[in-house]
Amino acid sequence: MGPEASTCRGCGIELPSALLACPSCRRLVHAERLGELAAVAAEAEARAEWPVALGRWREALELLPAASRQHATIAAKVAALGAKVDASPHPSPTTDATETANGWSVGAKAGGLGALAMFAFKFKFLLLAALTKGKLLLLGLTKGGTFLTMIAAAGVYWTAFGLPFAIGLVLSIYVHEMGHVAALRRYGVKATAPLFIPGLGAVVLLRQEFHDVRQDARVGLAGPIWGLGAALACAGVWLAGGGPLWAAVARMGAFINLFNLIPLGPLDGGRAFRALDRPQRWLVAAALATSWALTDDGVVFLLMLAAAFRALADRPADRPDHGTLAWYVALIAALSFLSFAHYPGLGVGG
Amino acid sequence: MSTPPASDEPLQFDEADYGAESPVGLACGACAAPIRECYYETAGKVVCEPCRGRIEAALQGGSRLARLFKATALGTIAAAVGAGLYYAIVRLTDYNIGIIAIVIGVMVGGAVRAGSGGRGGRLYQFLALFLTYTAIAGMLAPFLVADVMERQEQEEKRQVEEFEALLKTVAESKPIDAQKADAEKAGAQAEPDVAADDAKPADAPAADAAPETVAESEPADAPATEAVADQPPVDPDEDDGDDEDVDLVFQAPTPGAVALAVAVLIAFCYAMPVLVTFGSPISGLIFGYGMWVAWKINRKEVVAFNGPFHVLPPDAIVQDDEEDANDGPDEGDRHGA
Repeated sequence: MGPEASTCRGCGIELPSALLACPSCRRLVHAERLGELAAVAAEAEARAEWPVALGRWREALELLPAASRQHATIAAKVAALGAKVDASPHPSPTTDATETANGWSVGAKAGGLGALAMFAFKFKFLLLAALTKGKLLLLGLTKGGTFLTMIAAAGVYWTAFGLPFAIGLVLSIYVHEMGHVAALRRYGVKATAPLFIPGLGAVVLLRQEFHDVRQDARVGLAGPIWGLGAALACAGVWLAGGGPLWAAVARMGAFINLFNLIPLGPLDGGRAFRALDRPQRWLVAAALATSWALTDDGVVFLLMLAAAFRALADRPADRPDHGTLAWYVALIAALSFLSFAHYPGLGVGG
Repeated sequence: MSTPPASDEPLQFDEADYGAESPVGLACGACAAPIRECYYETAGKVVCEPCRGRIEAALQGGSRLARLFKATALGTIAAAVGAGLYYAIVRLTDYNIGIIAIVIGVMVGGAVRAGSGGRGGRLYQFLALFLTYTAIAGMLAPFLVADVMERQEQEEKRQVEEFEALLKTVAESKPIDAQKADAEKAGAQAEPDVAADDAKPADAPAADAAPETVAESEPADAPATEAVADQPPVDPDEDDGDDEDVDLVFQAPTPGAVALAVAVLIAFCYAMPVLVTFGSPISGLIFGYGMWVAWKINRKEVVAFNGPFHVLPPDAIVQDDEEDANDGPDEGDRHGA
């Protein structure tokens, strides 16, 4: 028998481990595992646990030849489930139940917090979303690779900007990356923890394919959306009387997130653009032109040029994605404002 | 093979469904010929033995020098385009976006890899590294040249101003004959008061010396008359063609000097990324990433052929071979060469 080979159960020929189906009788090498995955995914779908179902189907896709009809069928299923994830409230029902049991019910039992419990009940979704995100942010720090590279990045920025700003900048980037992580979890995509690259930013490496441009777009925009949240929080602290450091971090954080919207390559904007059809791409270019007219900033001009180039030259998506367009335009507006607003006492902007 | 569309039919995982047009039986992924005895696998594709040989020959053949030349040419073009792109972006945006260095690394690395026929290897890695560094130095060069030119303009302006001031001084000073006559006259009048003049401090300037004149530097005990008297008579209207001062400032450089200046400029351009790194370690890191990307893209990729994998059990093949030896070659041997 040849190197790393098995025998086909259907026709008996030797099969290399890299093949997913027998080239002779077409028997699927991982037939049993595929059956198990399909069963678990179907159960998860029945319970509306979309991330679980998506995760299993994605795993199944890795075990099927890309040219097979089964692969195409499951890829279509993944896209359909992604739409259900988009339509479902945040967090997903599974996370919702877990958090309710482990979090707020315990809090209510602690007693003496009736008013807070009532508030929590009324704004359950909002609080649970905040809690889930906060928990995720804390959990992310427990990853050794993330934490160590974060320290290294902070050290590099420290040499250029001083320690307080370096910490603020690194945390701002961290929140951005955890936005990607949260979206990846929602869509059941395996990926690494964020890794900081000192001087450049940070990356989350995918271990699975999306098989759907819309999910890719939403994961791409999740980083700037969370980054916008971090910048707004810093601006809020500054407005509430915090020092100019908060304004500086808000401004720099917003600018980095705006730059990430450049619709090229693997940057967040590049991923989002894949889901837009041609008219939508021109709308983004128009939004950037408006921002440029108001800010007169070179980076916004560069974004506009890149958007116009992709609207003209690149193959657009087959159908429009209104959700991605709405988020993209909203991010351009909000991040441009935060990046170029006048922060009294900071000495820049305006 | 085109992917068949998704189906609403219940999923089955017994065998792969490639659609109706898919051939049945084991066939080579390269030549589509049916495989009867053994096959190889590379990158998830099935190939027959003759095709394996052809692919390997194609990967190992060709002129190494031609590939190197092509990789150098394409890499140089990519480096030039990348450096130009970076300069254009800086001019356009007024931002020094260091991440462009990584784009340059991808461009140069990709071009070198394409030129090498996708082979990669240490030689091409070093070539890509050098060209990426050159591109980074090249993208910094316009700023260096602009800085040098600005300094040169300032220096020329300073020299012209000094020269104009000198001309103005000469023009404002009296003609030599008149100065001589004045000096004689002054000397005659001053003779009785020599003792009084001697009482002046030694470092006091000549009383009649105008500010910023040639005589200004003369000490008081060396009267202007003596200084003027020692000089040969000069007729201000006379043009003897002696423009020595002008030649000193605007003299055309020799070809050797130009070559030396260009060499120094190039050397300085190559040193620029290192110098920039000293001032801004973050920029240095980004340049480093750019070069690392170019290096990584040109890693040697070994096309591995796994196999042979037998279509029939090995004992059956031995039996087949024995039968073939007895019966002579048959149709199945056409892939055996």
